Order: sequence, then C-alpha cells, then structure tokens
Amino acid sequence: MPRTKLMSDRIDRREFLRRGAVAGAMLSGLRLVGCGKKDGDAAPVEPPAVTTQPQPMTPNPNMVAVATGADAVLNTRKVVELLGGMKNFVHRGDLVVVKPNIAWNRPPDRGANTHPEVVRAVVVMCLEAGAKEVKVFDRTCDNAEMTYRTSGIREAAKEAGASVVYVKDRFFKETKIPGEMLKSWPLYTEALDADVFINVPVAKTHNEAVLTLAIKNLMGIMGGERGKIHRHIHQKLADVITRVKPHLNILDATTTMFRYGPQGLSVNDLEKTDTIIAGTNAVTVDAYAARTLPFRLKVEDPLEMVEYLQNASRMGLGEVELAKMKVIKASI
Amino acid sequence: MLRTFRRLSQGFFLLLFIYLIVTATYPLETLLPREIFLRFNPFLAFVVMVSARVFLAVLPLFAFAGITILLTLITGRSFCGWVCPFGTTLDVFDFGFRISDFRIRCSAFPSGAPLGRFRKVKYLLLTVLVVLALFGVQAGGWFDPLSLATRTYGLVFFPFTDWALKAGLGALARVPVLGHVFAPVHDFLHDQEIHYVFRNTVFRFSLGFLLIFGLILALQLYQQRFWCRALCPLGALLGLLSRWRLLGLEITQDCTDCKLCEKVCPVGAIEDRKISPVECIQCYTCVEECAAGAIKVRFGQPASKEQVLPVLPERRAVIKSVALGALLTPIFGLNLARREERARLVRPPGARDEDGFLDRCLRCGKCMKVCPNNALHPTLLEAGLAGLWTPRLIPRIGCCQVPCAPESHETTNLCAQVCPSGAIRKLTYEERLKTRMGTAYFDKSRCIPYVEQKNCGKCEEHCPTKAIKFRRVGVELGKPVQEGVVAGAPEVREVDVPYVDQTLCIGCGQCEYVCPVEGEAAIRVGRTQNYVAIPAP
Repeated sequence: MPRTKLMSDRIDRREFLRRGAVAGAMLSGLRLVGCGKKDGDAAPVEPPAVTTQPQPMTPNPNMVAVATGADAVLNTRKVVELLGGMKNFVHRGDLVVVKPNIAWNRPPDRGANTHPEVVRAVVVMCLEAGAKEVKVFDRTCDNAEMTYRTSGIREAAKEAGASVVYVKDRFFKETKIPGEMLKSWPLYTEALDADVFINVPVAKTHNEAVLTLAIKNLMGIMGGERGKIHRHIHQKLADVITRVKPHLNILDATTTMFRYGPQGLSVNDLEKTDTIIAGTNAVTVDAYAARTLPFRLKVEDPLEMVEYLQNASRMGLGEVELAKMKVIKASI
Repeated sequence: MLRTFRRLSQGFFLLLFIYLIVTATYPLETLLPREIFLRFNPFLAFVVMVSARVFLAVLPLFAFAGITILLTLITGRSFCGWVCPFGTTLDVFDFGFRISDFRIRCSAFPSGAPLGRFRKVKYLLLTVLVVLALFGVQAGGWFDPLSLATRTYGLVFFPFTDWALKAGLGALARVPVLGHVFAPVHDFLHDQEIHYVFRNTVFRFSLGFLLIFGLILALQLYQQRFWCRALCPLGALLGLLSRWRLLGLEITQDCTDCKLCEKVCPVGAIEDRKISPVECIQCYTCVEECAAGAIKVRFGQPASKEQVLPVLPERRAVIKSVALGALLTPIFGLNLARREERARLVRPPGARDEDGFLDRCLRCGKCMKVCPNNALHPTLLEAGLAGLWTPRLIPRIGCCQVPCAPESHETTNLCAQVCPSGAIRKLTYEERLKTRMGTAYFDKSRCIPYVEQKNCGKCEEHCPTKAIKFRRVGVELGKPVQEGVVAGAPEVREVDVPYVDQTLCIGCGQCEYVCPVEGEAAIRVGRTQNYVAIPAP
C-alpha cells in the first residue's frame, strides 16, 4: 500500500518552489477580483446614464408640510399625509432606507438624535405602504453600538419591523459629485441604490455649520475622514446636495436644540417645539426650519448666518424664500 | 477514568475562561463577573494586600481566593492540574507538539534533562516577589499565570483572531460569486446587537506579549509544563500549601521500579519511588499509566516520611532571594521615560492615585479588553519600570466615552467594573462627569484656526463637557493670529480660535481623537498638573 504523504516528509526545492508559485498565483488572483483594494484605490463611480436621481414624487418640491401637536407620532403621520401619503413615495416591494440622525450616545430626552418614536412612525408607514424591507442605519459620531442603543432608535426601529444595521466598509464607494468644491467622496451605496431614501433628521444648531437639519444629516452616508468636510463646510454641504437627493425629508423638531449643538450639554439646551416638518427638497425644508424654529441665531435673516443655504440657493438647488414656498400646516 | 474527568474539567475551565474574555465587552450585562478567575487567585491577593498595606478593603475583592486555599489544603495543587487555564493552554500546545512530532524534531533541546533541575526557581521567584511586595513594589502581576493568560488571550489571541475573521469574511464578501454566500455571514456577525466579534481592536505591544508567550511555549519543548514546574509563583505558593494535603498519592510495594511514572509525570514530581506533594498537580497520569497498579490515591498523611520527595530550596538560596528582592526595589523606582512621555500618561477614569494604582493593578489587561473604544493600552516605560503594562489612555487610537456603560448600570465606567483588584474605582454618571483623567491643551503650531486662519471646531463638537470655547478674533491674512486687530478692515477676516476651559475639561480625549490634523493632533490630553485624588470613601 503506498504510503500517504505526511506533513513531516521533507519536500525538495523544486516542490517547494512549485507550491510557492501556486500559492502566490492564488493570492494574486484574489487581487484581480478586488480583494484587498481600499475604496480609495477604485476609480470613482460615475452616476449611471439612466438617471437614478430620485425624481420628486410630489409635483412640487417647494411644498413644505408642517404639523404641530403634543404627539410626535401623530405629527409624523400627518405631514406624510399632507404630502400625499406614504404610498406616494413607497411602492409595494420597494427597498426603503430610513436614515435618522443616530449620532450621539445620548438618551432620547437630550434631543441629540432623532426621537425614536418618530423613527418608529416612519418605519411603520413604509411597511404599511408595502415596502419589502426597511433598513435603518447611520454613521454615528460616538461609539456605534452604544449610540444605537442609548438613543432608543435600535429598539424602536427593530420593534417596528425594520432591519437595523451598522454601516459597512464595502458599501462606501468613491462617487463623483458635481460640486463646486467637492468633486468626489466615498458615499454609501446602500442609501443611493435604495428604491426609496427617506432622510429623518433632528433640529439642532451646529457650531460650524450653524444649523444641522436635513442637509447636514446627509453626512451620515459619507465615508472617509469627515473631519475634512469641516473646512469650507458651507460650500461642501451645498455640493453634497447636488448628488444626494432623498425622496423625502422628515425633520424632527419635537425639540429644537438651540445651544451647544450638535451634541448638547443638558436638557436645558432644548426648547420644546412639538413640530414635524417634511418636504421633498432638503434645501427648502432646511430654509423653512431655519426661518421658523427658535434657534436664537440673533440675526434678522437666518440665512445671513446659514451660508450653506445661500450657496444652495445660488446653485439653484432649492427654494429658500418663505414667500415662494407652498406651506401646508396642521395643528393636532 | 480520573484522567477523563480531569480533561473534562480542564476543558470546561478553559472554555469558560475564553468565554469570559470574549464577552468582556459592552454592554457587560452579565451575572458572572468577567474577571472572576483572577478573584480566585491567592497569590495576587497576597501581593496586592502586602504592597498596598490594605487588608480589609481588599479582602472582599479576593474572597474567592479563600476557596482556592481551602481546595489546595485538602487536594494539593489540583488547581494547577484541573482548573488553571494557562496550564491547560500549555497542555493543548503540548498535545499539538506531540502529534506533529515537533518536539522530537527540535533536536536543539536535550530530551533527557534531569527532572528536578529548575524546580527550585519558582520558590525563589516567589520569595523575590513577596520581598518586593513588602517593600511596596507589586511585581506579581507580571509573573502570575492567570494575569498572563488574561493578557495573552485578551490582547493577543482574541484581537488577532477577530481581525482575521473580519478581514477574511470582509474580503470574501466582496468577491463576485462567493460574496453572495459570505456577505450575509459577515453582515450577520457585524450587525449582532452585542458586539462580541468584529471589534476592530488592536493593542500596543501585543506582538511583545505574543513573543513572551512564544518563549514560554518554547520552554515546553524542553520539558512538559516547564512554566508550571519551574517558574510559576502561584504554583509555588499553592505547592507550599500542599505539603500536608489530605488527598494524596502513594507508591505501594507493588512497584516494579520500571520508572514509567517518572517519565509520564507532566511536572516531574516523581523520583526514586517518591512523589512530591508540593509538585504534584493531581493529574493522576501516573495512577493510570502504572502497569503494576502500584500508585494509589490515599486519604490522609503518608505512612512514612521517606514517601515524600524533598524539593524545597535550601535556606541559603532563600536568603539570597530575599537579598535580591531588597536590592531590586530601588530599580523599580527608576523613571526612564522622557519627561514628555510621562507628561502624557493618562490613567483610566476613576484610577486611584499613582502609588495606590501601581500597588493594586494586576497588569492583567482586562480593562484594556473591555474598553469599547480600544482606548486603553499597556504602558512600557512611561510610568516607570514599576508601572510596566499598566493601562493608559492613548486618545489617538481611542477616546473615553462618557458614559460607556448602559443606562441600566449604576457604575458608568466599564473598566472599573472588570478590574479585579479595585485599582480603578467605580463611578456613577455624576461622579464620572467630575472625574478628571487629564487635561487637554492646544498645540497652536498645528491647530487649523491658528495656523490657517480658517474655522474648524471639530474638537468642540465632540467635547462632552463643552470645555472647549471660542474667541472670535480678527486676523490679518497671512499673519499669525493676534488679539487686538480690528475686524472689518479689508485684509482682515474673523476666525474663531479655540481654547480649553481647564475647570471643565475631564481629559476624556474625544478632542484629540477627532482632530482632523494629520499625524499628531493639534489638541492633546496630558497629565493634569495639579492632580487631586478622589478622596477615599
């Protein structure tokens, strides 16, 4: 019976070289199919020829729906109803991405993240409209596992039936951006490729951007070193909007953080505004919120300070004048 | 039969040990304390109590060590043979060496070494460590096997395996066809609510710890369980307690003098038909291997004194060790690190004053493993030789999250919750916000507003106590920032330059962590100049 080769049998030089070459070829082969490449190495992804730029579902991007009342869930449902109902945005079998603000390791009463009840209401509406799957995620500022949990959003979204996931490296792909300063950046493809992308920010001030609302919330799908965005942030935020256009923006202004934003130091930095603001154009939603919410900016015209909105308006990305918006209000 | 029970017991305790290491992470909602093994350790309990000169406060932390002592008085060094995860690890590698013929092929090592040659070393080492403790230097943590095992598994094996798992699955998830199979596996592990794996942790000096373990493993090629028979101070202490063990072994008249037992004993406890109760780890290999069935388990003291193998070192060697311990003491007081490095020594939140900290810290690395942000790392020389491998914050790798325990916990710092010896105090949320780990300071030669005259503000955004504030200054473009330049003039721009309000800064390191400047951050955390220790409860 032929003796089976044992590991302890000595191999000769030729065999050693042969095995080394085979192993090396296999490893190089892996490189061919893209293993080991960092996202920065790959060529920037062109926006495909057939436009996946989300078309506004309602005819009027200048429309802003506002609901005020003690119940945040009812407010959330109302604003969507005013915009034609979730069926206007989510069709049966759609893959929906709901992107709340899950940034800071703070409980819901601190107003530093989107309120979990608002997130829950949005998820429920999407599933009611027939979504196949609703994904909820954000690229957090603080430790992700803690932030997802302390904010209450993980539990609320999971209970409502969403898939709560963390952001993953392989979905950040270098994407071309037709901006004035920002030409390309790694963006999260799971958000860009979803059938419906719903942006659910929370209303806060921000030391550098002045305000963090719908547009700033989109930084949650940006990869790479986001600290670099802070330089010339007002132009770069406007640039992001040229490429990333959520189908629906639902701004949680249940509380408005007016001091020490975007993290806040205590509950004393919040004003209870009990409002939800929604619209299909993030620029318009931000402009409306900047002009009507009590941010205490100490200027006559908030847009004086909020330069990114000035830039967005100049670049024709959305309406910022209150008079030209179609505002529908409801009080509950 | 006995051997099977023993293997099962070893397997159980090793798996339990590994489980406690892997699950020592956020949110730490567990009944069994993750550091429970270290609490059973009488050697560490002893050196901590002696060097800290604290008895009553430390006793409850190590109450379980009494169980180990009781167990040893009755059954001898059964801890070594049935429980110790480090010993079991060495046995596992030993098994691997034997089945792969590795031991035989390493002909550099003599196989017929005298069994008891290095036995006495561990007693002398124990003496040195006890003397050092008496002089106030707690050096036990470096040599203790449970501490070694915790460091090796927690800071070397786990992170390397975890990294390989994540990198491997991550790479396979991107491959065109296989990706459909591996992506869901990768994503499932990534998204699990309690993040046991894919922790992305990497520890300073982990290769050093691997090398040390490798060295101990290399000694295995010389003699089986070389660590246990020649070096282990815990084994030495338990050995001393085993002299009058009730459950022992004796070689009866049936012995044919074939010397098989001497060869199979993993710790070389048998010589000339005598078994040493001080060395024997109760593995019962000799009982089962003896062809004549001459070795029997007996209850009570041996019939005659000749049965007992003498192994303890002579008085002269002990005296020399005492002298060595005394002489080594001042060496540990040496501070060899540069002053800049020492000024950046930031301890975990709730750490005691430096002297008390060094007395208690077991250098086990449990706090480093549990830290969810991978912020704690072992020191090398920054804390002096005495502080080797104690934890420090390296904010550029990870910052302190305030709070890091879930709301359900009363204690808000996870590192304190797993520290077996109380070197890190437990803090409530309110206490944590007032506990200063260090103080941040700006490097104005690197900070963007100072250097480039443009706003940044990333540090202020992340500061949990809002200790960073801004001063709006007018700057002449191209010139360094000066106060008193009038804003509004054509060449002048307004810039918000940051500064630290040192009364508010708690030294968590969030600012240093997020600072977008390449390389060394423009804001750094250093040792607070006027450190005030938390008053004793």
